[in-house]
Amino acid sequence: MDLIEKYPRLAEILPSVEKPARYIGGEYGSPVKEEAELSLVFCFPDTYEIGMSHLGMRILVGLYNDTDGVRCERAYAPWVDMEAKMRENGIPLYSLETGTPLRDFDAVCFTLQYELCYTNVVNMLDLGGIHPLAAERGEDEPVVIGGGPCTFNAEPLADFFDIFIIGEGEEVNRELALLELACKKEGVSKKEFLRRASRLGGVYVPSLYEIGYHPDGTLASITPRDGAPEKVTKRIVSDLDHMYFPKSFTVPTTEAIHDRAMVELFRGCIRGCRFCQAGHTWRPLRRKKPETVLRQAKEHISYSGCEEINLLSLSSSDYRDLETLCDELLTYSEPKGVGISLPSLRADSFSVELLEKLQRVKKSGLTFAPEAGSQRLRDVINKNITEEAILNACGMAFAAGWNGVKLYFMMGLPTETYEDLKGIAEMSDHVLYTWRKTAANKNRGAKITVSTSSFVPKPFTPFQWAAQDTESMLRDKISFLRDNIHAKSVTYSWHEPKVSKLESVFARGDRKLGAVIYEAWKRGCRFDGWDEQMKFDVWMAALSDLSLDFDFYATRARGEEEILPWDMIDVGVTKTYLLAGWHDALRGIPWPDCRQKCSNCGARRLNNGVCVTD
Amino acid sequence: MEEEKIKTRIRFQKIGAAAFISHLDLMRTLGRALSRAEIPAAKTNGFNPHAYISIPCALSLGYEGTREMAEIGLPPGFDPASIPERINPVLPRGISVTEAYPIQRKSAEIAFAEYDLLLEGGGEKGARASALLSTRPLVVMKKSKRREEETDIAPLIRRVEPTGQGFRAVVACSASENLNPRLLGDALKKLAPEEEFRVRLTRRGRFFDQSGEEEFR
Repeated sequence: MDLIEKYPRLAEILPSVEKPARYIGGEYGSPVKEEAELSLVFCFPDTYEIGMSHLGMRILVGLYNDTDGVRCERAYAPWVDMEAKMRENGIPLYSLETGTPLRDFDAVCFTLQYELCYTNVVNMLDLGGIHPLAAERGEDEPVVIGGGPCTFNAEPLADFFDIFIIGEGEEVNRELALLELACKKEGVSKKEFLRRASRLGGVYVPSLYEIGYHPDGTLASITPRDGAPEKVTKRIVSDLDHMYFPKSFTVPTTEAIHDRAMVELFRGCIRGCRFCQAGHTWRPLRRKKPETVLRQAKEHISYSGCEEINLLSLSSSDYRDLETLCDELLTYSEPKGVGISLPSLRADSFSVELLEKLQRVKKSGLTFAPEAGSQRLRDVINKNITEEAILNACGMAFAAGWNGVKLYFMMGLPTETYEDLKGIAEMSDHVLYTWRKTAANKNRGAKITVSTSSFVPKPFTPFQWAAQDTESMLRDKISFLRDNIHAKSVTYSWHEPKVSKLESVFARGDRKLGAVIYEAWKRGCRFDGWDEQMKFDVWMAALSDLSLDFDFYATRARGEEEILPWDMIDVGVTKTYLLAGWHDALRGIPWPDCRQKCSNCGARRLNNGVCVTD
Repeated sequence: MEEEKIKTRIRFQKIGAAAFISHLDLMRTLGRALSRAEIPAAKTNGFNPHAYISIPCALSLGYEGTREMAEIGLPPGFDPASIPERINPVLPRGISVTEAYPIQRKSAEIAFAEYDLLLEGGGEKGARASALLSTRPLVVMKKSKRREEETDIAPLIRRVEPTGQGFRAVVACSASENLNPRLLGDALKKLAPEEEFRVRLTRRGRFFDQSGEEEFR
């Protein structure tokens, strides 16, 4: 149905807001399913352009609509201008398919990809006519479900959600929907449904866990109630070749950030960089066969008409059959003018021949992530890559006609010194020198970009115990790099440290932060991950008004004996393994990758002992 | 486009909420739909190749269009009449192709376009608006990128007639002279502020050539 017919006021509102096409729905491939017994709305708590770039949401919306008796629609966070107009005109947050207010669905599902979207979750619930606090919601209000990487420590959101799904959704999401459908038919209470859900495996019901605290604010106990499991074990899908994958998806009518078809190559990562949450929480390793990738890629290209396909994984060049797969895919895609892009290329296993082939259809830039400026620090973080490998890769690319490269680094890593930072400046000089030696075409000049982000310690990594630098330390480091990167053809850019500070608070935060999120939202916080929207002072005031200490969450190193807020979650990788990694990090000892030698991280027990490193 | 291509004009509707799909987004949307429908439209040879599509008269954001135009290149032997049934199932809600045919006249010959303005208050308001808009001169504030200046828009208006829901205006629509129908609403507000003219919807219909009488196809 046309949304302007449903909400005539939209005709007057839309001309006055930015990018109105975000709010009109009706895209090609938008799931329109007739009345089903159970209705869900899948929400992305950030803008439409970001949400439409997300493969997980594509898969799960498809999965629900592929389930008998279930229909699933979509909603995104309205930008601040649209929110104001909607509130002014009494328009609730609606689904893009049928314009149904969020409150009229049986369940509202959020994918939680980023810590600084939490106020958007609260805002979307409120704008959708749902009480944001789970404890205040009535029997007739929807069940609110969260999934995605942030649920590995969902404690800051515990007040707002009924259920968190831990791990991969292709199986458990369907099981949970069918359970809700059965409970709805049976007419059981929400409480009883939640109790039953907590037994599904991979389902964390926060209200069934009681948290006790020591006087110093750290956790004293986590007590499951009502038969809920002591540990909620992450769900994975064993067989990626037979796993659900949609044949179609919704193609945005207005530009998305990543506006393209997407297919995964494999899940997990053999590398084990010690700062990287995904590298640990996606284990054990499982891969799609090249023929599966090829079939799905062709289906999505032909369905969507997109000009580009992205082959996704945490480290593309670690996929054994990458070259032959790309060759075969190119025979299909090149005549159609469809380009192939590969994110996450490692400098040490990168093939310039492959990149040149891909360039025939669509030109793209070159990006490497050395992450740290010195070999010492790269050993600490277990980023097993040498400067030589990076310069070598850059040299080959420059010789083949590229005239620039982007280099990503992190600052504020554990044990970091100014020597290490100086290494970043030096490496950029060495890359420039390599360009002078090797570039095929010097006429256009070199364009080297150095970007730094600030390290945020994340749960379920060896660095989960680490302290984060203070804001002033980070600012000093940024100015140091600004002073030490001289060459005109090297551009330095950095992430705003305030954003990273707040990320850090929520990444490792506990349940007490729920009140802070609620208060900050009431005081107008939205889109906190957007520099221009982030109201850092409001957050500081909300924390201190609730007698909570910012540095307790962000800057404090965690004790090894401490009960961590996410200790009721089992992601496969064991705490013993992470702790050993932390100790070796502090001693500067890197570990072999999973292909060289298994380090017994513990994740393969989730897959009957199977971890496919090849 | 080196090989021989038959320049083909596609006529389409863009109605309802689809009025809020911008010109740029529309180009990409049509390009992708051509590709989904496996219509062998000629591609550009640029950095990022995509279907070559030209939309001669961009429609302002928020206006509906019932006879919009886009131009593409097709290989000889491809039957353009098959385009609507191929492409319509793969277009977003609110956009549909009504016909497609080889180009006979260049779009540069378009001189006027017809707009329906639906007014709150309907036909009565429409009759009154038509009368007011026949005033000469018709001076409104016209904003350009740099400045705002008073302009007489009367020479840009070919004719205005009342309809059941408002009025229909045939106004200049070419590269050299173009009138955004928003200025018609502005003119009404200026001429009779107390009558509170409110435009509910603006919808573009037919195009005309220099004669102002013969429909441009």
